[in-house]
Amino acid sequence: MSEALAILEGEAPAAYGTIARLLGDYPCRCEFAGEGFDVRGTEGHAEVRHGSSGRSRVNVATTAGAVVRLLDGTVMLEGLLSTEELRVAGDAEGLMALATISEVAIGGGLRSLDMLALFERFRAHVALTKTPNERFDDR
Amino acid sequence: MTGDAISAHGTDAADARHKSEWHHFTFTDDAAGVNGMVNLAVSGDVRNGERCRAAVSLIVYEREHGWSGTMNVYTRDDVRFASGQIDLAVGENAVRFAGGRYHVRARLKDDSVALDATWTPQAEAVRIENMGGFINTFIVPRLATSGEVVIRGRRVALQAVPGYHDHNWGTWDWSRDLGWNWGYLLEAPSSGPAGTATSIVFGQVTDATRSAARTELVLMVWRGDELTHVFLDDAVTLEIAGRRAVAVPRVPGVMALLNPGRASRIPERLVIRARDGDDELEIEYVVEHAVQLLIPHSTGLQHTVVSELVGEYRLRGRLDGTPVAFRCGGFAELAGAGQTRALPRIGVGV
Repeated sequence: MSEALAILEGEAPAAYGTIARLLGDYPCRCEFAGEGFDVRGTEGHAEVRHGSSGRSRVNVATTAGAVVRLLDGTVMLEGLLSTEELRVAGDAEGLMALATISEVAIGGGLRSLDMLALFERFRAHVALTKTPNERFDDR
Repeated sequence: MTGDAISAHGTDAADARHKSEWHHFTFTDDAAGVNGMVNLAVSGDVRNGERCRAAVSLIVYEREHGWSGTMNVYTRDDVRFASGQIDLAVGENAVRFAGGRYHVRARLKDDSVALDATWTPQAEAVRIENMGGFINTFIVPRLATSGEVVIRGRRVALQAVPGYHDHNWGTWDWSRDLGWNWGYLLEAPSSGPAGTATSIVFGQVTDATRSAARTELVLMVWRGDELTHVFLDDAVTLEIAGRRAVAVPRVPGVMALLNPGRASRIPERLVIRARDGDDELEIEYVVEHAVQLLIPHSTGLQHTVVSELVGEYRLRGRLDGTPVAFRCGGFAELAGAGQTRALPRIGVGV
């Protein structure tokens, strides 16, 4: 997450600024691959903080494998939500902000070679942690 | 395969940015209820890694299991080709022409689908240049596809099942210039006298909005290996009718996230009518399912949606005084610029 934000800051500063501003108003709590962290915006910067500040407006919980499949398109967002492999909770404005953050982040990173390379490293990391059967069974 | 070759890449940087080229292969195994497509594509300036992307789409529809597969994105460093040659490699995926047949190997990065097969031409090819002033195509309407596709560990053998190939290239602005309607029918080789099976390809290039035609609609007919009939302009019509309410996977997922839950309209059926003198054909295509490929434009969040339809073609008519009628499964494609979502956004541009 930190690397993705750094890539956006360097390659898509407008998108990064929007994300940092939104995270300032709507800090997000992530439970991801057994790890919990906050993503929040402070003075124009988006930062990842391990541990919980207790101030999050949105909570997101998912797995590394689900993120890979979602970005690949082998599973759709509604599929992950329906099976609760992705759980999102928050107030209405927070959820709207999260949708906007997602869109701005994807738009900012869409053509970034560094972002693509980061995703491929992430994919490789996920693949290493699973057996072939698990990779097919977790769909 | 004379006429099929990766195009030359010129020196005009502005043109190069808008260049696109792809090899496309499909197969249809009606008996097993399996349809597949593999597409190796390169777009942008191949001399500038920052401005060049490649993609491999490997998608299979099984009557019993539904859709599998997706589109994987690659960089210029992963692409290998030589202008004037057919062969194209993108990462571990490759199209190679040798011994009179196309050898195609593709594997998705998550290993969920892999294909290793040959496509052997069985009918003469056509090459049509400068369609609409910007796109070129090379079509082999009928090939025999043999090999195997492995879908999440399940192995499906392909034993000389009907296949199709086209290769498209040109320079255009995806946001403005290009949309299309396209499809093909391949009569089962066993349903008529040996070597006389009918193959049909129809298509039309439109602008990106799909509202303005950039070429005439054309429908070409092969009997056996020979191109025998071409219906053009007023001789052929295409009706896109109804709305099919099916769940539509959209790939790659990163593009689908830009428009969650907003699949473009999927029709219920296509009806193609062709008539020229005593020759006439009526083709009904009943759409069963669809998947959408989302191709980002060179700037912004806009994209082109290629709706890959799978369904059943039903043909009847008369050619050269002889009745012709058959049914077959197959793909059709409808392509045009997609719509971005209209949901309110918080905090952008504040």
